[in-house]
Amino acid sequence: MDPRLDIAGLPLSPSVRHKLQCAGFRTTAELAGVAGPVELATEAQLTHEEALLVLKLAAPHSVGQAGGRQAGGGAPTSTAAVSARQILEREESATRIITFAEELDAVLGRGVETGAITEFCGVPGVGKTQLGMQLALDVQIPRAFGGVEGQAVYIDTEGSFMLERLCQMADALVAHLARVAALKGDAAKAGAAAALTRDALLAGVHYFRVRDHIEQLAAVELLPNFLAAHPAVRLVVVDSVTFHFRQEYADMAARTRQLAQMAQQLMALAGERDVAVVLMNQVTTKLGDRGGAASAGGEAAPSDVAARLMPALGDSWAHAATHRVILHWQEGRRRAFLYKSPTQPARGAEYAVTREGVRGARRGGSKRSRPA
Amino acid sequence: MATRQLARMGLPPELAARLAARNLVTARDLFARTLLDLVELLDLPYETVRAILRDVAARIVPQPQSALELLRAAAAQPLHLCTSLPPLDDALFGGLPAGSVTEVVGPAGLGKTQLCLQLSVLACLERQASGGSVVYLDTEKKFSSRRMAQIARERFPDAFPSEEAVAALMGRVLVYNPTSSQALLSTLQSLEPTIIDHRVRLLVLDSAASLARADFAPGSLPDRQRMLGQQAGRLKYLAEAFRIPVLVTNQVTTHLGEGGSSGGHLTAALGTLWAHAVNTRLVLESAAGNRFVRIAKSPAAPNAAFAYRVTGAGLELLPEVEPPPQLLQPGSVVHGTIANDVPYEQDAAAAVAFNLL
Repeated sequence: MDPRLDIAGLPLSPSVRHKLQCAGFRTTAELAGVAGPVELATEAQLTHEEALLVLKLAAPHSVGQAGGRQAGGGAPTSTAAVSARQILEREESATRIITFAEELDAVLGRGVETGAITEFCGVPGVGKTQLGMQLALDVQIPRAFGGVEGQAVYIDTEGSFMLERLCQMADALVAHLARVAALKGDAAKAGAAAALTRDALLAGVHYFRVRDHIEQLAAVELLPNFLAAHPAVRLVVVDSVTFHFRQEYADMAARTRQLAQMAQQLMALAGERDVAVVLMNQVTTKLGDRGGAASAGGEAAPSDVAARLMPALGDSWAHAATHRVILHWQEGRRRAFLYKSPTQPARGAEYAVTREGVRGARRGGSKRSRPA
Repeated sequence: MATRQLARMGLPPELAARLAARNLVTARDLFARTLLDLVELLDLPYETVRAILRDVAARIVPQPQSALELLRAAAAQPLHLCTSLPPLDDALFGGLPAGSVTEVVGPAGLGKTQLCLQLSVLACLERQASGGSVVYLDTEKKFSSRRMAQIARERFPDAFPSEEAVAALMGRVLVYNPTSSQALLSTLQSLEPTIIDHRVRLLVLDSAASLARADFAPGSLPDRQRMLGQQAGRLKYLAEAFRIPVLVTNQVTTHLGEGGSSGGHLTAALGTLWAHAVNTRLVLESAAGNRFVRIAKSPAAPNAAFAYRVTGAGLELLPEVEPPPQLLQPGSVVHGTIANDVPYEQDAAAAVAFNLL
């Protein structure tokens, strides 16, 4: 904590800041020298509460709250470091949520990581919603099977969530777990599989339907409280994070700010509550020939020349997610490519969407099977 | 909802007054600003502002439900509009999903409007007891009352035994003719009273492409996409708020392949943003001498195609005809090929079937 931080840099309300400046305080070092809240209140003509707030922000050690995170006001200032070894232990014991597509799980490092944000970006129809629904079920796999045994929050911004399809996938999961339990002849597994009925799986998915970008921002604002009330939740899916932010934005700067704030809140949520945050993103078409810039000019150029599909929401959004995966088609097969991750190497994987849900690619084609 | 007024959210009076004084009237005004902006604007401490935001958020976010509760609630209000084409309904888990946008795209003359008319009849029929009706937004002047009457009579002779029954059906289909993209958007924004008053059970937009392509020159693509985005958002909102299916038709365009101006292929118009916006995409195309309806994008159904033909009674599936394998190639929905082997021509048989002469 830099002792010479200027008061203007603290998140104080303007009238409090003004009073401090009138009283002659310029930096936090000067505030640190104050004996206590009462003295500050007298000197700067603040109320006792305001003075205490200022001191908590500016000179935390003088208020008796040592290191780490603060309970009270303002931005938390963590004065104690966490050793890399502790972080390693935390990472190794971190649980993962599997997708049921073995190659994809391997690329992600045994599955989707809790405590981090993973973004899946892809063209329409490639399986983003399918993946979201599959993860919402897989998070509930009992610990007896090596699963996380948690619940899911599904924030639907587009209306693609199909209840019957979720039921179909739930039935398949129940059948799969029963099969595995029977194969292993394990009583614990059998018991856990029997307890996980389709209704139980459905009850474990908390569904939010948001209809515009304000409701989306509000839902993210509410998540900490919701998660506190439902501590079993280990997964938050936002499908898609993009849709409402692609229109009605005359002011792109405002959009970037709101997206950045939403990203910060989700990151904090993922870390503090150790949940996996999975965001689905769309793609957008960048026009122009190779090397040329975007935006169609006055000329009626054929709009499809060398059009490239890029993840939507712009370059600044690229920093929001910890891991970024692009889902795409290649020769009639679905592929996933992990192209940004601080821990895993960039790699591709094939996956399929079948009647049971998201699964690994079969030899000989990944076409979705038709209903009988 | 973004436009909810803060004044009526039951906030403490001094706070409400302070918000009003700073010109923060709706929820959007509040959430459009960052936290620090609000601290400056409201002259309140950081944590207080956070608490206000959480309070307002709790009031505007719709209550979450578990998937199980949704399933139980579905018994009361149907989740699908049956299309009366059983194999298609089976694939789609019952028909057009309520609360989402279904798009029908294809070359001219393959039957998109016919399908719209057929589904309009079905929507009125399904909710006949409670008085279901349909809002039909016709941008190309293709709506034909006579054709709809013919479909009703020939497809459901028991339900429409007399002319009065057909006339009653006609009375429940409300047709609008927006003449510009802006007019279409305005209509969409003012449809709520109509939907409630007339107990509308289906919203049809035929087509989404014509006005967009007419009003926006090729050079103003971003503007066009922004308008389409607003229309799509509004359509989804109506679908969701009233739990009804929304049916939209789209045209085709030529997608030039990479590396060479020759060898383009037909694909759906309106670009990537629109392809993302629709929840389900049904493609009407012709190949190997037959017409096929193909499920190209659906959160519920796998890729499947069914042969059909257009008769006096609307669309009829031909279960004995197998779709050619290239139709079922999974691939990108955005630039997926739409087959049009037989360009549209009004042949004598079709004219007779339509009974329009």
